[in-house]
Amino acid sequence: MTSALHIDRLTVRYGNHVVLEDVSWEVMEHDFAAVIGPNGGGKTTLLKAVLGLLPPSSGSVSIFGLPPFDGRKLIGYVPQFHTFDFSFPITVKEMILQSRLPLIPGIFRRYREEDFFAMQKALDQIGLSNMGDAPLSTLSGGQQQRVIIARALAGEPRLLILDEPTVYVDAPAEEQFFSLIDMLRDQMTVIIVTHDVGAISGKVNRIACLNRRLYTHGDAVITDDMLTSVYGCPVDLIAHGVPHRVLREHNGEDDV
Amino acid sequence: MFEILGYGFFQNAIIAGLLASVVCGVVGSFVVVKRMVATSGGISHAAFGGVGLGYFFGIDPLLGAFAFTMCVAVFMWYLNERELQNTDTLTGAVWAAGMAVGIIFIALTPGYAPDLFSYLFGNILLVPTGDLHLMAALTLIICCVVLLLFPQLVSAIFDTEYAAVRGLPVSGLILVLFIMVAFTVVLLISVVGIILVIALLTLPAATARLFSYTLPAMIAGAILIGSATVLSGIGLSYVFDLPSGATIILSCAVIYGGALSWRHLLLE
Repeated sequence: MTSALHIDRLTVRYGNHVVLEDVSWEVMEHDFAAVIGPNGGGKTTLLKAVLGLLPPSSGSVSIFGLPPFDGRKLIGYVPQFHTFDFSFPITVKEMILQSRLPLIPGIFRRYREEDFFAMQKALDQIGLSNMGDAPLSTLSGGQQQRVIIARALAGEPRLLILDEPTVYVDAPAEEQFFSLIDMLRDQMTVIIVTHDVGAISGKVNRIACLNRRLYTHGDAVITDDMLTSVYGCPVDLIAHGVPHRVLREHNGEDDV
Repeated sequence: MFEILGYGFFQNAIIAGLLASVVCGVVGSFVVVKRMVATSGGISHAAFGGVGLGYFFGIDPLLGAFAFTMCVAVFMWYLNERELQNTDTLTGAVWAAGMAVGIIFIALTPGYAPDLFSYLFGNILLVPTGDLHLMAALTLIICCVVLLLFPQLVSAIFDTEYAAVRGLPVSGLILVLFIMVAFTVVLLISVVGIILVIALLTLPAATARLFSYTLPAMIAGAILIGSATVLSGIGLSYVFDLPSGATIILSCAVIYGGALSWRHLLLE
């Protein structure tokens, strides 16, 4: 089994403030992993360290055995929805194609036939095959979300990392989103980062909880203890039946 | 009335105006979508420092402006890279300090005070052929650079973080953009003058933005609108004996206002 992401004792400090402390985690190829935790817990910082945008204060990150600078070409990154300016004059096709640029040799990069092919394939994968020429601003929120994913897919990544992918998405679209991700698992490893514990699909097979430190379980079960130490207080959750249930079944005792 | 077209100075004016329109269409579009209008304003006004330094050292003030504006543009790029909290204040400081440097050096230059009016407010009807050559060269360079680097420039502007994650030379691409703004500012000084550069740089592009869904369409639209306003501005200023730079800008403003109103009515 190949290691897709290996984080070894990663610590990140902003000045005197420790944001990530001694974080270690391993995600294997074809895993569907999730990092959950409260806002401010360091999820964004962890992402930036993995993507090579932030140097660690100590510890290391490797992607398929490579350091972040080399490994990031294997990563498909899906940033948070709210970071986008959807009024920018750009078509769906152009946005997706931009992912191909680093794969093109030379300084004056022009798109090649294989880039258009990969772009169309990504569009097919997200179910928007005929919308290539549509301006980004004319799409619905759910469609725009899918285009952001298609952009990451067009780079033919081995590791897909999604940051809060379900925030602006309603329940039926969420269902659709998780089936899409499940389908992609055959071809790549998937990691989602989210503060919304309830959004996690039953198909996730590896979970880590992050609040400055990382708490992990080998299997995809979140215990009350994990949640309490991560969120800092007893957490009430509403989890409704398979396939969304990720909490261990209780024995009928009263929980705080 | 049209016999005026036979005169060299008027032909120069038309050529200068068209070169300016092309460059404003291209660079102005990037400036508008990247929301760096204030930064460009800072660079354009600071150019006056170069004019003053040029006079002081006895060289063509436009060349002085070129060198100084390049330095200011690189400095503004550097500030942009640092992602500071107070860039608007810093922009204002550069804006004013640049003008002050220009005024001081002109005051320090011995002899009769030169005609500053042309540099501040433009005088397209007095563009010497030498300046026209510089303008043509800058236009050619800008068009080539944009054509060659277009997909990468758009990528760096649309989603800077993503382009960086993907390993594109984002800092370098943004520097190219800032330098193109510097080139454009210098090019526009003789057409509309330093005070109004920012208007010609942004208004045609902003107007085109209202009706464009892709950046190439916006650039084409901005060039057309820029050409129309520059040519009509020159024509009107000749017919009614008005300052040409201001007439051009007023045409730009009227067209932008009209486009905004029309779009507002269309959407009702």
